[in-house]
Amino acid sequence: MNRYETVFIIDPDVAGPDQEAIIDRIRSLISQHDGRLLVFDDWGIRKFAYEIQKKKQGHYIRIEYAGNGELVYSIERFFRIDFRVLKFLTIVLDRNIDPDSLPTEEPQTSFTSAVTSEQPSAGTETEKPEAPVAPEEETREEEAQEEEAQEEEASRIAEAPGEAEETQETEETQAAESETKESSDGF
Amino acid sequence: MAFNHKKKYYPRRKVCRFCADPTLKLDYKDPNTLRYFITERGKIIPRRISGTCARHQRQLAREIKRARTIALLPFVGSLDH
Repeated sequence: MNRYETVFIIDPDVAGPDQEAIIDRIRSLISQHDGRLLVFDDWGIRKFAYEIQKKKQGHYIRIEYAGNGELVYSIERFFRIDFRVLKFLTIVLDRNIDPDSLPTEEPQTSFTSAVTSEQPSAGTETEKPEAPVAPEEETREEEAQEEEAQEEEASRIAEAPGEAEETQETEETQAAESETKESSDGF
Repeated sequence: MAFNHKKKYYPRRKVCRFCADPTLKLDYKDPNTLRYFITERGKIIPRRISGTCARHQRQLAREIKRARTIALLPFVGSLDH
């Protein structure tokens, strides 16, 4: 028995009950194949990085489940047939897990058919800790981006990555001290 | 330029961000972190530029490709990503 994670995208224009029907179908498929649903994670409506079937956004849902390869095959087969599922991705999280170690109760499928916020729940929990990073770390990052921009141009001409950063901008602003001599030899 | 002339070249010491900060997790579900390692056009930034170590670069490439599959990152450039 393996542990799998599947992210799939439902057409956001599909009505709520139809979306729930997809979820119910997956649940029944999992139980048919003696699998077990472990995590149900609804990300809500998210924008795509590129258009899928002329759509700019979709309803992301992530599930984690335990089962065997046949279960994955039948779930993916269902996704391919069902036109309401735009895209899906399954990855193996853990191989040869012990079925007895799994929690027995099913997770709450708190399915929200309503249009939720842009922020996914998964994105917030894996928010990168930016604050404790050393300051030099951040500057390096900026340099990397700088370099990247230069590299795009430089790569066409030569193999040399941008080294223009070394010309340090040390503008010496010399404060010209004007000597104010009061000429008091007039009277 | 700097390579074939006498102009001084100061290589900055590059450190793999993921080695420096073990709390930083590589995950395709977190496209905002991965976005630092792709160009504006969506290409994966090579190791010689970003300084990522070999091991983490492999993981990074894998996660970026996964994120592309599920439309969290672009395959090819978009100016408004």
